[in-house]
Amino acid sequence: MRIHFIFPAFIFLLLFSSGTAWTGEPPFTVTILNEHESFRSNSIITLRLQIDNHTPHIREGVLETTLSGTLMPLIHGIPLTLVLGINSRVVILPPTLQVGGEAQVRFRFIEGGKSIEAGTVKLSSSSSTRTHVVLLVTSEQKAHDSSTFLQLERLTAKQNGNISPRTAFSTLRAEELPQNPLAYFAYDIVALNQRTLATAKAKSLDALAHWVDAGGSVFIHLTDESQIPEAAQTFLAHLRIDEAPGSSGGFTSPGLGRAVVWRQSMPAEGSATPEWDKAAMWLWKTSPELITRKDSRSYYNEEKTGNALRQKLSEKLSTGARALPFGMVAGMFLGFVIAAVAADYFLLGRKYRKFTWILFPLECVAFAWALMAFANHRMGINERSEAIVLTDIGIDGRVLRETKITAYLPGSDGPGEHAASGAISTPDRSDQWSSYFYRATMNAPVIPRYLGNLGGAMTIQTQRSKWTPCFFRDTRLQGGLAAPDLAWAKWESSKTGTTPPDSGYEITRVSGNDTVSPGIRDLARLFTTHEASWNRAEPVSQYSPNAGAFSLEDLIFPLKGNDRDIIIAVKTVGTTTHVFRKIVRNRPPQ
Amino acid sequence: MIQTIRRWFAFPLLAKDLMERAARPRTYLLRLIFGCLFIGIFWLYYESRYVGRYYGGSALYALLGTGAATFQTLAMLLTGATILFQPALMAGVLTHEKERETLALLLLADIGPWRLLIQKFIGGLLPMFTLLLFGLPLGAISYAYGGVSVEKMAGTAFVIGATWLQIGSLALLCSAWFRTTTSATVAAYVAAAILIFGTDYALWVWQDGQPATLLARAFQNREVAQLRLSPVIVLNQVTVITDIRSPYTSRLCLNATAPMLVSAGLFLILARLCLLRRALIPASTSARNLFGWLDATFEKLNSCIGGTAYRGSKEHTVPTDQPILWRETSRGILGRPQHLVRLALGLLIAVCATLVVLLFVNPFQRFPSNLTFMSEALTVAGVLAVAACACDAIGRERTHQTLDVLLTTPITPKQIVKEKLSSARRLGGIFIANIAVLASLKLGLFLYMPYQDWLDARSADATAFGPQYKWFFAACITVGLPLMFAIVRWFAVSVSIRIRNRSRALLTCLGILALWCGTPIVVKIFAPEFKQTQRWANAVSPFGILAHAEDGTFFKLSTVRPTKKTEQQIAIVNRALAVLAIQCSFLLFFRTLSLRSAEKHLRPN
Repeated sequence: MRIHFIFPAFIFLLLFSSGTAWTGEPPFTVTILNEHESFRSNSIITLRLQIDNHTPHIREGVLETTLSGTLMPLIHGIPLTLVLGINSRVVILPPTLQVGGEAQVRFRFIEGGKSIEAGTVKLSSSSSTRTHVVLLVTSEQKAHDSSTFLQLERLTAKQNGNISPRTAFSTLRAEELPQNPLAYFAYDIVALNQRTLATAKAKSLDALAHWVDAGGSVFIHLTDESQIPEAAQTFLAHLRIDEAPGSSGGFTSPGLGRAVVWRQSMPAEGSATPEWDKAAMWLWKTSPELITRKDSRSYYNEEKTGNALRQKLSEKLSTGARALPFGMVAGMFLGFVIAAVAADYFLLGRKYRKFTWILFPLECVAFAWALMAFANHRMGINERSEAIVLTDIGIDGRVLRETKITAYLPGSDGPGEHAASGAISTPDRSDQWSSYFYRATMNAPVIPRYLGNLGGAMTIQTQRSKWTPCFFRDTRLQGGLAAPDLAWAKWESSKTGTTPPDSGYEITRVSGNDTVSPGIRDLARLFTTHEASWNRAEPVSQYSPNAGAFSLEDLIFPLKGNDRDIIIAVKTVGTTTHVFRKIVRNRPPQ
Repeated sequence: MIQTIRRWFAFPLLAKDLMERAARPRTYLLRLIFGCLFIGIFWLYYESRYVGRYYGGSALYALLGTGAATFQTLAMLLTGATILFQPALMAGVLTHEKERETLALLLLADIGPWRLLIQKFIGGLLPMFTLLLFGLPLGAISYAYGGVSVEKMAGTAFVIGATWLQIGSLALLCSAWFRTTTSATVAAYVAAAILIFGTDYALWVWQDGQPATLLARAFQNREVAQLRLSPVIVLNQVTVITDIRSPYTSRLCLNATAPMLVSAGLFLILARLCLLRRALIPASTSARNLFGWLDATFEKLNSCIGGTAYRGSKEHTVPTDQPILWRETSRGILGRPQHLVRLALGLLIAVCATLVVLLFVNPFQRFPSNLTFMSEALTVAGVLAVAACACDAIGRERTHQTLDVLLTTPITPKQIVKEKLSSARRLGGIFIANIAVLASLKLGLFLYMPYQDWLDARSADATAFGPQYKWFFAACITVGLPLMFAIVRWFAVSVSIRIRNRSRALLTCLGILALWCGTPIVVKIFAPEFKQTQRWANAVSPFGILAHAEDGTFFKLSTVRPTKKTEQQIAIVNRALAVLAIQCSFLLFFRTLSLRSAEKHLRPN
C-alpha cells in the first residue's frame, strides 16, 4: 500500500522539479529575429535573438546553441544572464564547416548543471554554397539605397554573362553594430549611410575600422561630412590612412581592406553608372579582367593553395615521423605473398601440406602485426603539432591581422582540444562526405563542440583520428599584437636589403611580377603569391577576409590589385614558424 | 563420453576436403593470383587518387591520414567479393551430391544431418577464406597510413566475417532446397540480391515515401532502423557513419551485426530442415504444369468465345530435322512462343511494378535514372541467367550421361552445340525484349524532356553529338543488346565444353564473366581518374557498346578533336563502330572456339 503511494509521489516530484514537463510550457522562449536571412557555411553566423524569460527570477547560465545542418552540427555555449521579460541578444556563432539546407537551431539553457530546453527554430534560408553577404546598416526598417548596386552577380553578368555568385543582404540597426571586430567576419561588405554612420557607437566604428584593416570592405554614402559626430570623423580619417597619393578621392585601401566614401547621389535603380561599377568592383576587390574568372567560389583554385599549405604543415609534422612509402609497402606485400605461397607449397612438402590451413592464416596475421608494429615504430605514437603564424603589417608598421594555422598529428584515436584566445578559431574544412581524396588529407574532426566566447577564450573539442593531420585556424585582429623590431626601411628602399645578423630571420621582397622559382614553394611565398599554371607568380585579388575554414584565399595579398610589394620575414622558433609580411608601399597609379 | 565428443568433432568429409584442397597446386596458384590482384588494385587506387596529386611537395606526406578511406574501400571490396563469389562457391556443395546421387549414401553413413551440413558449410566457406585472409595485411597497410584504429579494424573484420557466414548460409539453404547446381546458384544470387537490396529498399521506401502508418513510424525509429540485414548497409554503418556521427564502439558494431548473425543461424536451421525433406526430390515440373494449365484454360476460353483458329500445332510432332532443337523446345518452358511471351510479360510486370513504386517515392526528375538503374539490373540478371543456361546446356547432358548417346547419332558435335544453345537464345530474347521496352520508355520520355536534363556533365561525346544522340543511343542499344547476349552465350558454352564437371564449369564461367564485366566497374570505383583505362575496359567487356552509349563517352581513337560538329559526330560514330568491331571479334572468336573444341572435347576420352 505504502509502495503504491510512494511511487506516484516520486513521479510527481520528478515532474515538478523539472519544471518543463509539469507546466507544459518552457520557462524561456527564444525567437530568432533574423531567421529569414541567408546564412552561409564556413562563416560566422550572427543571430539576433529575443529571449523571453517567463520565470519570476533573473537566470544565469550558459545558452547552448546547436546548429544542425545537413551534414555538420555545431554546438556552442555562451554564458548569459537573463532578466525578467524580454531579453534581446546578438549571438555570434563561430564559423561552421557546413550549414547546408534544412538548417535549424536548438537552444538549451544550462543552469547549475540542469538543462532546460528553450526551443528549436528552423532557419528558413540557408546556403551550402558560397554566398557573399553585404551588411546593410539601417536606421529604420527600410531597404537600403545601395542594396541593388552592391550585388556581385550584377557585375559578373555584365562581364561574361555568368551570374553564379550570389549576394545576400543582411540588416542590422546602427546601434546593434557589433563592438567586436571579429563579428564582422560574417560579412564581406558593410554599407552605411550618413544617418547610420552618425548614430553608430564609437566602439562599433572602432571595431569596424579594425576589420577593414584586416581586409574588410566598407561602403559609406555620405551627403554632408560636416554633420557627423567626432567618432565618425575619426573613423573616416582612419579609412584614408593608407590612401595612395594621387588616387581618386573616395576609393581608399586602409590596411588590407577597401573603402568607398560615396559623396554623389545614389543612381536610380537599373541605371548604374561606370563610376558606380568601378566603386563596386573596388569594394569586391576585383577588376574587369578578374571578374570574368569569378564564379561562385573564388578567382583561382583555392584548393590548390589550401592543399599545398596543408601538405607543407603535414611535412613539418612528419619531421621524425616517417610515413611508409607506398612502393615499399607494395613490395613488402608482394614479397609476403610469394614467400607465403612458396613456404606453404614447397617447404611443407607433400606430407605436411595439409597444415597450410593453419600456417597460412598465421602467416597473414604475423605479417599484418609486423607491418603495424613497423608503422608504429616509424610514425611514433605521440601527438605532434606544428604551427604557422602569419602576421600582416601595414605600411605604418601596425599589425593588421594575425593568422595562426595549427596542425596536429594525433598518435592515437580519441578526443582532442584546441584552445585559442581572442580569436576566431575554427577547424579546417572537411569534405568527408563528398570526396575520399579530401577526406583523407583534410580530415577535419567532426562535430566540433565550441566552448567559450568569440573573441574571448575558446576551446574546440573534437574527435581525432590516428596519424590523420587535422588543422585549425585562429585569426586575431587586435590585442597584444606587436610587429618585430626589424630594419624594414632597408628593404623598403631596395630589393636586396640586408638581414640582421644572428636575428634568425630570413627576409625577401616579392612583387607581382616575380617569376616563380622553386623557392616560391617556401612557406612564406606560398601565401603571398599564387602559383599560376603558366609558372608565373600570379597576384590574385582578395575579396573577403572571412573565408575562414573553407578557403585560405584571404591570406593571399592582392599584389596586382593593390600594386604593392611585400617584404617577408620568416623565423622558426621551436615548432612554430613565424611569417611577417609587411606592405611596402602603394605604387602611384599608372 | 570422450568417444562421443571425438565422434562429434571428427569431420571426415571436411578433413578429406581440406586435404584434397591442400594437395592441389591450384590452391596456391589462386593465392598468388589473389595477392597480386589485390596489390594491383591497391596500387591503382593509390596511384590514381593520391600519388602526384599535390603541388610542390612530396606525395608521400599526402598519404598521411588516407588509411581511413583506403580501409573503407578495402572493406567494401572484400564484402563485394564475398557477395559475388560465396553464393557460387556454396550453392553446389549439396546439389553436387544430389546430381551424382551420392547424398543418399552420405545420409546413410554415420554422420548425421547436422554434422554433414556443418562440414559442407565449412568446406564451402573455405575457398573464400584465402581471399578474406588477404584483408589482414591489406588492412595493416591502411593502418600504416593513419585514420584506422585496431578496434575499428577488428570491428570491420567482424562485419565481413558476419557477411561471409550470412551469405554462405543463405547459399547453403538454396543448395539444400534445390535439385540442381544451376538452379541453386541462380536462386542463391537472387536471394542474396533480395537480402542486400530488398531490406534496404523496403526501408528506403518506408522512410523516404513516409507513408503515414505505424510500421513506417516504427522503421523511422532509429533503433528499429538499425535492424538491417544487408551487409552493405551494416558495413557502411560501422565504417563510415561512425566516422561522421559518433566515434566507433564495439557495442555499436555488435548491435549492427547481430541481425546478420541471427539470420545466418536461421538459414542454417532452415537448411537442416530442408536437407532430408528435399534430399531425393524429383525434377520439378511445376512451371510446365502451370503453363500447361494456362494453355488448357486459354483454349477453353477460346472455344467458348468462338474458337479462333490457332495455326500452331497442338502436339509436338516428331521432327524431320534438328532433333535436339526440337527436344530443347518441347521439353522446357522456353519452347512455345506463347510461353516465351508469358515469361517476358511476367518479368515486365515485375519491372513495371518496381518502377511505379519508385515513381511514387521519388521525384519525377529521378525517373530517368531509375529507368537506367532498372535496365542495368535487368542486363546483369539477364547475363547471369543466359550464361548459366548456356553453361548448363552441355553440362546437363554430361551429368545425365545422355551426351554419349547423342554422340552416337549422325548429328555432328557442332550441330549439337548449336541446337543446345537454343534455350539460352530464347532466354536472352526475353531479357532483350524487357530491356528494349525500358530503353523505348526512356527514349519516349526524353522526347518531352529538355535534352540537357538527360546528359551527365561528364558525357562529353553525347554533348558533342547534340540532340540526335538519342537516336544514336537507340541504335547502339538495338545492335548492342543481342550482340552482348550472343557473346555471353558462346563464351559460356565454350567454357562448359572444356570443363567436364558441371558445377566447376558453372563456377568458372560465372567467375570469369564477373571479372570480365566487373573490371570496368572496378576501374571506375578505384581509379576514377583513369578515364581512358575505364573506356578501354568498357570497350573490351561484353557490355561494350551499351556501357559506352549509356555513359555518353566513347574511348578515344585519336587525341585530335575535330572542330566541326559533323566531324565530331562522325568521329563518335567511328568510335562506336570500333567498339562494335571489338565485340564482333569476341563473338566470332568464342563461336569458332566452341564449335572447333566441340569435336575434340565432347567425345569421351
